[in-house]
Order: sequence, then structure tokens, then C-alpha cells
Amino acid sequence: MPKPKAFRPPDYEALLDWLSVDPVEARRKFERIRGDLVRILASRGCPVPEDLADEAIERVARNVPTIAPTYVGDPALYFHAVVRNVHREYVRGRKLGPLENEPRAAAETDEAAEMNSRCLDRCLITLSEAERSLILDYYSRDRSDKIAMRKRMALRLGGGLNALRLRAYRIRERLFKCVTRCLEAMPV
Amino acid sequence: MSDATAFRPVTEDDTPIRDFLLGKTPEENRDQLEQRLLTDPDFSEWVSAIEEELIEDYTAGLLSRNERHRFEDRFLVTEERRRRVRFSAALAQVKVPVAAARRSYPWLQLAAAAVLALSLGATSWMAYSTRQTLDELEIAENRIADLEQAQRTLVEDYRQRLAEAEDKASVALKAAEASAPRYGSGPLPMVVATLFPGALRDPGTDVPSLRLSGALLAEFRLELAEDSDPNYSASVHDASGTELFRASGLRTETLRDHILVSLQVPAQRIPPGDYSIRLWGMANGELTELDRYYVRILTR
Repeated sequence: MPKPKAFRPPDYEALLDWLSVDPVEARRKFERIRGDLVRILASRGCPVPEDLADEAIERVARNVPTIAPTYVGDPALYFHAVVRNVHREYVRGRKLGPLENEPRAAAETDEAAEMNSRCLDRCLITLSEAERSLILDYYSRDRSDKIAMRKRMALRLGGGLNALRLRAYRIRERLFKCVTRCLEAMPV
Repeated sequence: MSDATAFRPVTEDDTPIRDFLLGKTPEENRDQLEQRLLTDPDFSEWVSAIEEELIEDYTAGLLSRNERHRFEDRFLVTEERRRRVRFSAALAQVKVPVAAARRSYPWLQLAAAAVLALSLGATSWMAYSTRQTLDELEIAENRIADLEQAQRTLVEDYRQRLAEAEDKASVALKAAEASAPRYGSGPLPMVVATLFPGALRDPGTDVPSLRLSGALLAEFRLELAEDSDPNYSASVHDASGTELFRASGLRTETLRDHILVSLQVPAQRIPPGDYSIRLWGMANGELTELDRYYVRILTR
């Protein structure tokens, strides 16, 4: 009879150390990898990508003390191997029966939409004038000539259309994080 | 992470990334793309940027029917992504006049002054607390009291101005909502109507009616007698004949023996009123109107 494996708790500190010796860089890498694991799982049609990504991370964290000393290469590739296994097991398990607790979009109220808009208004004023102007011009749906307008913006700002897209994305991302924080701080 | 101003495109074509996000990547390419995503931070950021553009296209009603279904089934599977869709819809509806967008915010300066006063108070307190004599401590305490008083005044002023600004924003928001519904939550609501060609019909009588209460999109399924073109375009016109919206590259689909072309129109483009929808195709190399459909949008 095979001996059962001893339980090893996940060691997140060791995991972060493995990603980078610089704690800030390690945290940043960790968050990026988690986001990408969620993307990968969603792209594979998984309805609970966050749960499975966390499961994969937990497994990696549990294995780090054993594998890190001898592992060669980018740790992110190890995450990929693990997430593939986790997904495969999930798919196999699902064939046995319907999965419980698969998420459904929660019904939203007008109040929630209003809070969202209020937070957005507040966060917009935290941007610099140039950033606010760029983001509103870039994303405004009022403009029917959006493509031409973005080309003009790219010409004006220099660097080409792709650089503009990335620039708009970075501002938008900051804005989204600000709105998220604002919504979390709002009284329920 | 690369500098946006010195950006070199990570990929020349966005299609493989959009396909990946919609779960359409062929199995043989999947591992390679996933590994690059995990190991190349620039690529990962570029995928994030394209993801936001996909969300933007979804909220603007620019995805094809197939893409929209995939987006809802494969993409909208996390709360964060659903929040991003709501955020995108809210961002697209922000209407800030250029002058207003470029004005300065004096109360922000006040808030900054309050923060400065706070930090100065804290710094002063820390500096004086290390001194040994009671006299110096007393002076420090007096200064802190003064600064705290100044800070209270500034914060009070800031709160008042913030409340005034919020009141004004609230009035403006209600006015905007009265003229155009704000969309900001949940899976995007869409109203669907099947229309039949009626070029000879008097638009004043017997016109199909549609109420868009709360919907972001209206999908008009235009029935065709026969499928004669690989691609169609359609335009929406108000009662005076002015074109308000146009979409091209539309394809037919067959539903229970009916040949249909689906046209999605953002609800904000069609306020209550009478509209005609013109379906266009190519005949002898020229763009030709094939059929005309009428619809009445009712008050919300």
C-alpha cells in the first residue's frame, strides 16, 4: 500500500523569494502571474478561473521549498505546468457531475451603477489635466470618427497608434484601480 | 515594462490575442501563447490593453454576434471582469466639455494644503517631542494646536466645497439620465426586434414599436427575401432621413427558414421617435439599397 503523502502547507514567503529577491518586484510578478493564470483558464473555457488559479498557486507554493533549489529557468513556466494539471483535473472532475457554486452575474441595482459613476467622477479629477483630457478624448463614445480621432491624437502626441493605445490603457488601469478602491470605501 | 513613448508593437496583429481572450486559440498554438503570456511582461501588458479594447467594443456593441456570445460565455466569468465592463460603460458615457475638463480644481489645492498642514503638524510634533526642555515642548504644542486649527478650517472648507460640487454633479447626473439612460451594471441588457421589409409602407401607420427601457443595445433582425450578397451594410435614419448610425460587413444567418441580417445599434443613438433602417448590398458593383424597414422607439 503506498504511503500517503504528508500534508505540506503552502509557503507563500518562499514563493515570493523564488520569484525575486526584491520583495516589491516579487509582489508585482506574483500579481501579474496570477492575473495571467486567470486569463489562461478563462480562455480555456473554465467558469471558475480565479478559484483554479488560486489552487494552482497554492500547489506551487507548497512545492517551492522542494523544487526551488534545483529548478532551472523562469518560475512562471512552472506555474504554467501546474495550472495545466489543475485544469485537466477540473475538466475530468466536471464530467462526473455538475459543478456547484459556479458564479453567475449578480443582479445590480441602479444604486450600484450610481456609485460606480460617482466614483469614476471622483477618480477622474485625481488625474492630471493632460491625462484626463487624453482618457476622455480616447474613450468618449460621443465621437463617431473614433478611429480617425485616435490617429490624430497619436500624431499629436507622437510615438504612433500602438504607443497611444498603451498609454491610454495605463491611465485607464489607474483609473479602474482608483474606482475599485473608491467603491470598496463606500458604505454598503 | 517598456516605455509607451518608445513602444515597439509586441504583435503586429491583434487577432490572435483577441482570439485567445475569446477562447478561440487553436489547441496547437495555445501552450506557446500561454507561456509567452506568463514569461514576457511586455506581452502580458499588451494582452491587458487589448482585453480592455475588447471590453470597450463589447460595451459599444461592436462585437459580432458570435464574438458577443463568446465574450459573455468565456470572458465575463469573473467579478473583476464584470466590474471592468461596468467601468468601461461608465467611462464611455462621461460627457465632460473640453473647458470643464481643462479647468483647475481650487478645492483640490485646498485639500493638498490640508494634507500639507497635516504632515507639517506631524513632522513638527515628531521633531519637538525629541527635545528635552519643557519650554520647547510647550512651544511645539502651541504650534501643533495652531496647525490643527488651521487644518480643521481647511478641511471644513474642503468638505463644504466637495458637498457643493457633489450636489452640482448630482443635479447634472439626473439631468443627463433624464435624456439618456446611464448603463452601468450586470450583463449588458439588449432589446431584440425582428423587422420585415416595408419600403412601401406608410411609416406613420402600423409601424412596429419598441421600448428600450434600460437597454444599452437594440438588435434589429432584418428579414431578407433572399441572400444575394456576401456582405451587407445597414444605416439607421431618423424621420427627416438623416443618417444616425451605419454598420457594414454584416452577414446573414438563417433562423427557422428566415434569412436575417442582425444590426446592433447603441440605444443612445436612437432616442424615442420614428426611424427607418436601410439595408444595402452590392449590385453590379454599386452599393444599392435592397430593403427598408421601419421602427418606432417609444418613450422609456
